[in-house]
Amino acid sequence: MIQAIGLTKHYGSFVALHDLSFESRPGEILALVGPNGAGKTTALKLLVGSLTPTAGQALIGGFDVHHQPVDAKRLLAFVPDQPFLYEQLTVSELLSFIGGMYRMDPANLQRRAEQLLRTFDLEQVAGRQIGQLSYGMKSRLLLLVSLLHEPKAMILDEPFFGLDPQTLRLMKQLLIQRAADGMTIMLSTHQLPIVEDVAHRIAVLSRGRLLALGTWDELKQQHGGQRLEDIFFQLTGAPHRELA
Amino acid sequence: MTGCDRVTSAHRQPAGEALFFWVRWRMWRAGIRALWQAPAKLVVMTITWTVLLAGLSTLCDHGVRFIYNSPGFGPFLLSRLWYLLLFVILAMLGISQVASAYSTFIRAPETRWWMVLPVSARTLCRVKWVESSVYSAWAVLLLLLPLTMAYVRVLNQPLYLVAAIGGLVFVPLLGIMTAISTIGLLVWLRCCSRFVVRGEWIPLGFVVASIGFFWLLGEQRSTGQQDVWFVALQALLPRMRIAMSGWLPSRWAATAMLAWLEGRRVECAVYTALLWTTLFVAWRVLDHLSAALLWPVLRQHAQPALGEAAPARRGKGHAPWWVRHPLLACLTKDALLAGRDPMQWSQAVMFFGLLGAYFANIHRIAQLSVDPQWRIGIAALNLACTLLVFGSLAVRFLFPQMSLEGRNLWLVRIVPRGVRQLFVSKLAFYGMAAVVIIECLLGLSMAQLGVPLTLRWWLALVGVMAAATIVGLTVGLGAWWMDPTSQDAVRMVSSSNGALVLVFVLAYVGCVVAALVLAWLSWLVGAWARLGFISLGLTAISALVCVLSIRLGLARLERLESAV
Repeated sequence: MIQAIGLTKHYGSFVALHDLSFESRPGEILALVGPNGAGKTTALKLLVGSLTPTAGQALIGGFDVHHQPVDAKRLLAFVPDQPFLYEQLTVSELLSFIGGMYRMDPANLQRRAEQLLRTFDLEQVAGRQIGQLSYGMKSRLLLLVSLLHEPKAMILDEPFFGLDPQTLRLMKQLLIQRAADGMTIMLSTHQLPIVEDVAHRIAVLSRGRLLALGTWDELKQQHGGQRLEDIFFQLTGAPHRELA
Repeated sequence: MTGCDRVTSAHRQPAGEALFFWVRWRMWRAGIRALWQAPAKLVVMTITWTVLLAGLSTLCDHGVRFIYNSPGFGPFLLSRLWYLLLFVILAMLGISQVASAYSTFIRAPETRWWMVLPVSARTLCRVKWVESSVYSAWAVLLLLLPLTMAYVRVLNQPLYLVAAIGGLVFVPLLGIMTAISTIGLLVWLRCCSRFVVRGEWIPLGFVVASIGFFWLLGEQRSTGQQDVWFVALQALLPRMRIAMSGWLPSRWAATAMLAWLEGRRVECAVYTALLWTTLFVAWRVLDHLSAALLWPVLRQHAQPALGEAAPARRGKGHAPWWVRHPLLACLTKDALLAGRDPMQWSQAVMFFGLLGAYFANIHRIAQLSVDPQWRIGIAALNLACTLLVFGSLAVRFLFPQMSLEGRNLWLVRIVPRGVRQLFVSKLAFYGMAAVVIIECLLGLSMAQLGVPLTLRWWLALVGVMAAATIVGLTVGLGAWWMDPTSQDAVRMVSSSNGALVLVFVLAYVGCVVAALVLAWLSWLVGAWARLGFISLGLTAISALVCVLSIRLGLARLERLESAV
C-alpha cells in the first residue's frame, strides 16, 4: 500500500535521504525511528507528496504520489506533528470543509462526523472555535480530520508528542484497531516504548540512510538487546555528550 | 573565533531597545543579502522604483506648478492646500497606525515571546511603537517628499531644504500622530475590551460618523448657477476651516514649512519647537501609559482558556449541501474566516464607506447644471479614486492571503487538487466581493452625476475589468512570493515583495486612469474609433497582467515544497 523505491532527497550538496526502499502492507503499522536529523520527516513528506524527490518513487496504493497525485491522495491521510488548523472555524465547520474538499456526500459526512466526534470525545466542543480548544483536543481533532474520508493508508509525523495518558491510550488503541481493519499505517516517533507496543515493523534511519528494517523479534535476533532503546543506540551510536 | 565565542560576543553588545533593533537589523540585512543574490529581482525592483519615483516627482512638479501659476489666487490656494493635505494625511495616518499597532503589538506571535524575556513594558512599547510607525508612515513620507521637492522648486529655494523640512517638520508630525493613535489604541483595548469583542461595529460607526461629517459640512444647501471653480472652492472652504484649526499638529507643520520657505525664521522656529515638544510629551505619555497598560492588555488578549471562551456557534456535525464541491468548501471557509476577523474587512468598510458618503453627496454638481462633459470627467475620476483605494487595500489584505494560509496549508495539500482549489476560491471570493463593492460605488456616483446610459455601461465594464485584474495581480503575486512561515501580514506587506506589488498595482491603476482620461477626451470630440481602440488596449493590458500573475502564482503553488 505504501511503497518507497530508492527515495532520495538532496538539498544542494546535503543528502537528507539516500536510497530509501521499503514496502508497507495493508493492516501493518510501520514505525520510523531515528535521531533528530535522520531524515524521518523528509521521508514522510516525500511519501505524502509535500516534497519532490531528487530520485526514486513514492507509491500509495500503486499510484505515484508525484505523477498521479489525485489518485494517491484519495487513499491517503496525513497527520503532521503540530496541530495547525484554521483557528477561527468551529470544529463542525472544519469537518464540513474537509468533507467538501474530499467531495463527500453530506449524509455520509454527517454520519461519519458524528461517529468520529463520539469516538474522540469531541461532541461537546463541536460548535466551538478551534482556537479555543486545548492542545490535546486539537491533536485528537487532527486525527479525526484525517480519518473523515475513510483513507486506506495513513502517515503520522510524531503523533504521540504532548499527549496526556488518556489521549495517548486512545491513540494507541485507535491505531491498532484501524490496522486490524486493514488500514496501512506509517508513523515516525521518538517514543521507543510506544513503538514496541504498537508497531508490526520498525525501520531505523540515521543520517538519511536506512540502517535496519524488520519486526521487533527480527531486530532482537539480528542486533541483540532487550529493549528497542538498546538496539537504537547500538545502530545509531550512544550519546556521549557531557551534561551541563 | 568559535561558534560559542560568536554567540557570546553577540549577546554582550545589545540590550533592551537595542537588542530588538539589533534583531530587526539582522533580519533586514539577511533580506538585503537574499535580494543581492537574486539580481533579476533587484534590477526589476530598482527600475520599477526609479520609474515610480520619477513619475511621482514629475506629476507633483506639474501639479504644483499648475496651481501656483493659476492667475490671481494660485500661490494663496497652494499654501492653503498644504494645510488640507497635511490634515488629510494625518487622519489617514491615524487610522493606518491603529491597524499597524494592533497587528504589531497584539497579533504578532513574537510579542508573546518578548513577554517572557526580562524586558520592561516600556521597552517593548517603545520598540513596537517605532516599528509600527515605520510600517504605517513610510508611504506617507514617500508621498510628502516629492510634493515638498516640487514646492521648493517652484519657490526657487535650495533643494537641501527638503531634507531639513522632512527631518525637522514632517518626522515629528508623523511621530505625534502615531504616538496619539497608539495611546488611543492601548486605552481603548484596556478600558473598552468588551466593545473590542464587538469590533465589527467600529468601522460601521466610523462610516455613519463620516456621513454625518459630510452632512455637517453644508453640502445640503443648494445654490444657483455658478462656475465650477467657484463651487469647488466653496466646497473646500468648510473643510479648510477644520484643517486650519490651531489645535492641529498638521497646521503647525504646514505653518512651520511655509514660514521656513518664506523666510519667517522666528515663526518657523516656534512652530518646529512646538512640534518637537508635542512629540516629546506624546512619547512620554505613551511611555507612562504603556508601563501601566501594556501587560494587562496583552494578557487580556492572550488566547482564552477553554470554558472562558465565546459561546458555541453551532450544533455538531453541521454539513450543508452546498459545501459538497471543493471550490465551494474553500469559498465557505474563506468567507467564514474573513467575516470573523474584523481586521480583514474593517479598513475596507471605512475607506469604501467614506467614498460612498462622498459619492452620495455629489448630487449638487448635477443640480448646478454643470456641463455634462465635466460630470463624465468627475465620474471617471471617481472610478479612478475607487480603484486606487481598492488597489492599496488589495495589497494590504489580498497579497498576504496565500502566505497566511501558511501552517494550515498542509490540510489542503493532502487533498486532491487542494491547493489549486484554494487559490481559485480566493480569486473567486475576493474578485466577486471587489466587483460588487466597486460596481455599487460606481453606480451611486454615476446616478448622482446623471451620466449617460452608454457611458455608464462602459465605465461599469472598466470597473469590473480593473477589479478582477487587481485581485488577480495581488493574489497571484501573493502566491508567487508566498512565504508559508510568515504570520505577520503587516511585515509581509512592508517587505520588498509587498512594496513591489504595490508599485505594480499603482502602475496598473495609472494605466486605467490614463485610459479613462484618453477615453474622456475622445468622448468630448466624438472620436468613437479611438474610444474603441482605447477599450481594446485596456482590455489587453488587463488580461495580460491578470493572466500572467495568476499563472505565476499557479506555477509556484505546483512546485511548492511545503514548510509544514
